[in-house]
Amino acid sequence: MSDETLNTLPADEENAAAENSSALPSAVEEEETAALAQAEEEQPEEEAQPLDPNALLEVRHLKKHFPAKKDFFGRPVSFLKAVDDVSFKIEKGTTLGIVGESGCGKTTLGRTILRLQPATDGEVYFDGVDINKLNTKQMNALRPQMQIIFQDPYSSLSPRMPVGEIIGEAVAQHKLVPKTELKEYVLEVMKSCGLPYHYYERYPHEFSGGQRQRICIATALALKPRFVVCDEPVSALDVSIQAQIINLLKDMQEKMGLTYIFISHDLSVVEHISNKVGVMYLGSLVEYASTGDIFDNPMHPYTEALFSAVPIPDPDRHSKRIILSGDIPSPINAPAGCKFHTRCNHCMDICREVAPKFKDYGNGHMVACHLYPQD
Amino acid sequence: MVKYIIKRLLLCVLILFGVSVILYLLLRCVPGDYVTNKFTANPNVEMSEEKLEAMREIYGLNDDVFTGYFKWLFGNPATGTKGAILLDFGTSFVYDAPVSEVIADHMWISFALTLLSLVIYYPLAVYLGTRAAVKQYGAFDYATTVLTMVGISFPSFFFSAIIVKIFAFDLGWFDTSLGLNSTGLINPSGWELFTDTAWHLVLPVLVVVVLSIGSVMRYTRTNMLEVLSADYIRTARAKGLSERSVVYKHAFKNTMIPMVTVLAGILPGLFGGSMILEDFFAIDGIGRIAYNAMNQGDIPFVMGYNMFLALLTVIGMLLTDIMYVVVDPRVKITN
Repeated sequence: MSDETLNTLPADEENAAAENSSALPSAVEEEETAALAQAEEEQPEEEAQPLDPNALLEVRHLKKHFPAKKDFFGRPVSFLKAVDDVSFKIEKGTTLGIVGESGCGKTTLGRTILRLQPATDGEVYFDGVDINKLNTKQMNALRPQMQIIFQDPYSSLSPRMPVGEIIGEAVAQHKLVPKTELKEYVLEVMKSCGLPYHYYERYPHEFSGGQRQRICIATALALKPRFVVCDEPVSALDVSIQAQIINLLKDMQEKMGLTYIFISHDLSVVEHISNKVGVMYLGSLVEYASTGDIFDNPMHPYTEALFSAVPIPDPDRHSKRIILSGDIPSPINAPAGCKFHTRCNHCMDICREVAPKFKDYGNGHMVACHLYPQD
Repeated sequence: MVKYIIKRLLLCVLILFGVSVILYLLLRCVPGDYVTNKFTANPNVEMSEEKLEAMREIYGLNDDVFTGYFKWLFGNPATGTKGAILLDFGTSFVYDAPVSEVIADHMWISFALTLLSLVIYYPLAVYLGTRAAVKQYGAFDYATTVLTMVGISFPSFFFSAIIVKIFAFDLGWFDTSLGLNSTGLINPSGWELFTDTAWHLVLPVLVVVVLSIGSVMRYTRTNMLEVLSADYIRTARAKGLSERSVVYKHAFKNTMIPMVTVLAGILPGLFGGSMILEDFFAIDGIGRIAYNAMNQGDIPFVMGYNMFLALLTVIGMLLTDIMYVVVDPRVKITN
């Protein structure tokens, strides 16, 4: 893990972030790239922003809205804003942890970044290319470089394919290794992921959860990716297996120089694996900082409450639990102003009306909260 | 595996026994018997009550239900039958020939008709269902849904009547006398006979295709939709596989598992014929033969025919279970 990779987001981006959040999306699911290109033209100043050469992935104002209610003619009248104006970037070889309650849009964020679902608006630059502008063929050609490991290893493997075929299939289609060496290559990948070679002919149902997750990891890594979204890869596994899988992911990161987005609701796991952490609430990032900063000094009240829930393995120390009142509001009619104001212990009048800016408060520690100076 | 199959076959015998008991009881409950139907329907022929009684005795209709069933099952020394237990179903009243012979004679006509339809509609239905599922809620999906629903909803006699009216009577493309061959055919050559039969088969096959395609298509669509929303399909897409590979390799392979059940369920229908359809089109298949026998109270034939259907059904069920092992690697038969 490299600690010297702390960097700063360009501060200019925040202004646009706050203003865009209320704009209705111009594109619905089906009309992907055309509508996106159009939305692009409306904000020409975005193009001018130079990309960070150190960042492998840069996400700008990414939005994913699902039509929640439709009128008689099937036109959407309200939207579920699963991902609402999220911007961040990840440097090569580092890990960004994304944390938040269930339903806050973590998983949707991961899938939208990989264009497994078309984004409603916003850009995802992978190695300098906006993947939302690629056509299907170009996107499929790029896919091996950006892989995903899903949460549920039980349902994410086709029950009718033996392990060797699952791992080797896409390798063959993308012609990553010559045909004659395919089996050898697959066995090699399996070995590096802790799968004995005689598993090659077996079917997924013969394996336990941990082994299945190893198969999923092998499937992703066999494509020689540069970037992997780990979508809660250990939450379906029991604790002893969790550690093995996390260590496997870390080993492979060192070996292959991978860049991860690690989505989880387990804060201790995120602390262990991440260089940076982003906290999501109702589809938006509320805090983003290096792991050390955010765990030592959580600035946003939500982050504070979230981290206070982590149990301390010391019976004599009393943790100061911050109990949040109320439920997480519906993302269909998210509260106006600061989305967290309905549950915040520090809620002020301004929080109910004005959305706070996502601002850098030094050392790349970004927070969206009115408790801190907004200018 | 072998042990399992033997076990299942023994169970089949038990099921068939139960079926035969119920069938025989029901048949004997039907008012009017063969003798009464045949000899009192014609007012020109006077039959004395004694004569009728004697006839009933000959046909075994005077036995009570238990004796009758016993004779059917274990044979009757008086008539020389060996009984159903030795696969001798006796002599048909109406057709005056051994039941098994009558079935064997007419079975293949029905089989040919149904198989021909099956070969057309099954792949077509699977294809349409797959396409509809891939483009769910698209124009293609709605169009096939509506059309196939119309197909399912038609009663076969009604649809046959419409088809015959339009294509045979109004347009005159087909022979209105129906049947399998034209009436005017004298000493036809092999090729002539073949084309003539083929031409006569078009309408009945069309009816079967239209009536059957809907359910298989809907079934395929539902299964395909379920599979397409599975996580491993998302994995396949994330791997950057082509859409073709995702749909036909990953999704379709997994759709095949439930489809096998449908295919095995078709088995009794394949040999059993269709009573209404064959009767309407005057095709001498097993369905029409059975329909006539049923109307005239031909107990041995109706028993034989229904046991034949029951046998096909239980074998179909057994085949389904065995096929599951073949298509689904997760299913293993253990004792």
